[in-house]
Order: sequence, then C-alpha cells, then structure tokens
Amino acid sequence: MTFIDWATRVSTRFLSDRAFELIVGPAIADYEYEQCSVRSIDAARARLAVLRALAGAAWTDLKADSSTGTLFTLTLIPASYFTFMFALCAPRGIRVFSSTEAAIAFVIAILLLSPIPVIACCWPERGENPKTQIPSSKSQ
Amino acid sequence: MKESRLPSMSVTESLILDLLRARERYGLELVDTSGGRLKRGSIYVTLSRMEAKGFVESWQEERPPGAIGLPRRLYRATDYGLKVHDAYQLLREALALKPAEAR
Repeated sequence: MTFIDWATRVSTRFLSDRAFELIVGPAIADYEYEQCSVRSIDAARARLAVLRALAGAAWTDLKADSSTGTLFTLTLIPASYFTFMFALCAPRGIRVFSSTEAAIAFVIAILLLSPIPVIACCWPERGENPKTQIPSSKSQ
Repeated sequence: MKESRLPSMSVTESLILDLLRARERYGLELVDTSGGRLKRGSIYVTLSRMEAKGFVESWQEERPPGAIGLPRRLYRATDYGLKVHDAYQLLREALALKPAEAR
C-alpha cells in the first residue's frame, strides 16, 4: 500500500466529504504533483504536510459537529479502566513511582492510550466520500 | 437592532489574500511564493477556513482524460475577501500610529 493509498483510506474512514475535498485532497494532489515534477523535494517533509493536513481536517470536522463531547466522554471510560487497573495492581499507589517524572510519564501514557480504542471504534461515520471515484494514484 | 458580527482576518489570511490579489494560485505555489511565511502543513486548513468565510473561492483544475492522481485545487480571492483585507490593512495601519500621530 502506498502512502497516498493509506492517506486516502484513513480519510475515507475518518473525514467528511467536505474536509477531504477542501483540505486533504489538495494536499495529496500537490504531493503527487511534486513527486512528478523535476524540482528536488524533501519527501519526508512532503509526507508530513499531508499528515498535518489530515490532522487539521479531522480537527475541523470535530469542531464542526457535536461528536467532540461524546468522544471526550467515551475517552474517560478507558482512562478510568487504566487508572483502576493501576490502582489494583499497585497497592502502594502513587508511591510506586520513584520520581515525579515517572508519575508524569504514567499519566501521559494513559492520556495517549485512552483515545485509541475510542477513535478506532466510535469515530462517527462521515458518509461516502467522492474519493472512491478518484482515478488511481501514482505509486510512490 | 440586530448586531452584525464583524468578519475576522488573521495576519496569515491577510498574507494569502495579498498573494492571491494578482492571480489565482495553487496551495503549494502560495507556500513557495510566501518566502517561508506560510507552512505547507497548515495552508490547506487555512484556505478551507477562508473559503468558509467567503474570502477565497476554489475549484479543481481541468485535466486531460486519463490523467492519474487527484486534480490540483486553484484558489482565487473574492471581492469580499479583498474588501475585508483592505479594511483590516487600514485598521492595522491606524492602530500602529502613536496617539499623537493619529490626531
């Protein structure tokens, strides 16, 4: 699977038609154009630009609809699960951490892990995207 | 009396409209001509927001049949966008004056 195929698949699952058409689509088109052009490019930076466009489009979609509150509430479920598991497995509680940095790292790990199941399972359907009709992308 | 909300325009949006004043451009072209002031990762989000505000309009380029990949998107400043841009320019210049100069 090429990078463009992957970006398109992710967009199909997570983004609205409008967000794809106005944000990710142009980013991918410019990326493909750059790949075909003769000018020297930094491939990593070009890919990063597409990824940032993807993240920006997802954020725009989240701001535009009412699902943000629901997703946040659902995120609290795995967060609570991880915290209670920690409380059960570490009877000494927070004293198990040798330093403040270790405690902060634990909190950050929970904050990073908790949204993953919510995003994977509960991200709202965005409907059919027009990109299913897009001519096949160039292989990267 | 119904209060109308003033349109807002950031410095980045202002810069984009400056670059689009002369002619329509692609997103990547805007980044290249901005001399590093516009970032590739955020330009498309900004352009999308500007389109929602009515500052720019965009369309997909026409391509020959059989062309591979996605068509690129062209952007053009709207009359409304340029009007708001010019008003903000005046406002910024006026606010940049010291009180004594403004008299």
